[in-house]
Amino acid sequence: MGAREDERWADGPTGLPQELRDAVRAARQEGPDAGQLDRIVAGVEGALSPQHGDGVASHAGGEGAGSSAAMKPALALTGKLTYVGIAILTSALALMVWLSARPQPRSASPVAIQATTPAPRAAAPQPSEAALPTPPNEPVQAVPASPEPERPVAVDESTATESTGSHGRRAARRESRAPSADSAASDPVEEARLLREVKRALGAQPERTEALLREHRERFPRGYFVEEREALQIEALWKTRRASEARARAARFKASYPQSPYERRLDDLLQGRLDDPRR
Amino acid sequence: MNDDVATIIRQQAPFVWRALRHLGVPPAQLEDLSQEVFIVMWRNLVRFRGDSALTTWIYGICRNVAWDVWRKRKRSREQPHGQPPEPPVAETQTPELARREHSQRLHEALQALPESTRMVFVLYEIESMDMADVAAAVGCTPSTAYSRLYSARDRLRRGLTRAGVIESDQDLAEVM
Repeated sequence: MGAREDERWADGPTGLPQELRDAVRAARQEGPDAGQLDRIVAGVEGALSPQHGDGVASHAGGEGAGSSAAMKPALALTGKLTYVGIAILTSALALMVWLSARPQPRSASPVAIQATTPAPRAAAPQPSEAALPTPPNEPVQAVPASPEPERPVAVDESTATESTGSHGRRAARRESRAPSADSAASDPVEEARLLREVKRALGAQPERTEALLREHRERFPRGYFVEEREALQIEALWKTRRASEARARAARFKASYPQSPYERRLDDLLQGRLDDPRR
Repeated sequence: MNDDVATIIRQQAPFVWRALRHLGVPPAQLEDLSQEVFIVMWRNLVRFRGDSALTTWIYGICRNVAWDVWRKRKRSREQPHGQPPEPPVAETQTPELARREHSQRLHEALQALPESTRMVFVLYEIESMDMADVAAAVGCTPSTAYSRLYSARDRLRRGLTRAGVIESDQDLAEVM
């Protein structure tokens, strides 16, 4: 690490002076102490429990705008959400578990998590770095005590509704999505794997699709991905020509999950805008 | 909570903490806002498509959380807390105190830079991210990110020289 670090710090037209290198090394050791870390973990755990419908707001002084604004980059990254996100989630969670179990070399670059399933035909091209908030032109700073941060910009305007929705709707969404602490097997990795199997079977193997959805309902009645399961159930009904059931369920879905990222896809599906070879 | 999730939080918390600090979050709010970052991250994990590295995505959340804090402070006309108070100087300089003083000097010098320049330096030099990931995080091309890095190094060097951290021009000549 030392040799590579020196090489890295020597590159370019201006190397890094020794004093600055020492300062960088010192800065790398900054972070929460043990007590602060324990409180962070406990705070997150408490906020994600079903009893905290406004968990995020309670940590941000009672205002939800912080969380909704903070969700913009995550939502901007997804654009038009498709079920491929479930497959990526499985990979993401598995990778996060693996990363947490091994020591991270400081020189290692974060591993980009790649989708393991092809994007559906209806999916829009997924932007990469363009999806991240882009800063405006750099302001010229003299020696400000606190330079104005550059406003993050959400590229995907469809996510802007997240910040304009009512606090009540956001609280309802958080509450409906909060997994049950009583869930027999609170295992998001397993949940996501199962839903990925549903996605694979969807359309081509209707009986297997139904069986997998039933298994997910039984094993994870109030799991982390109930919303995703319901959206897949609606699509399964549509693909097996149970249109009236699909429409009725979709209406209940919209009422239960206002401003859901799946709403647009379901609308497109039920209005025949998706190219479904089975229909 | 799933034990794996708690493990992931413990692993990523230092990065989140430092990112928030360098984005201008007051020290007194780091703990609360680190929690908020992880809550947002967890609730949106299903939407993470993997187009970028995980830390790049997490950094984006940190950035928006920090922006929201700044916006609220501006609205309430509070005094900005961009410069945390100087730690007391002990008569006997222990290695730990020296480390903290180094880090504090760097932090103060970094706060004088524009955010996009500052964060390229922070993510590349302090967090040791690869430049491609840094560029994705701050929203520019790698070549632009390199330009900003060299600009940051130059400005920090001059700033720390003025502050007396880098002692003489001879030091500069030796490293140029």
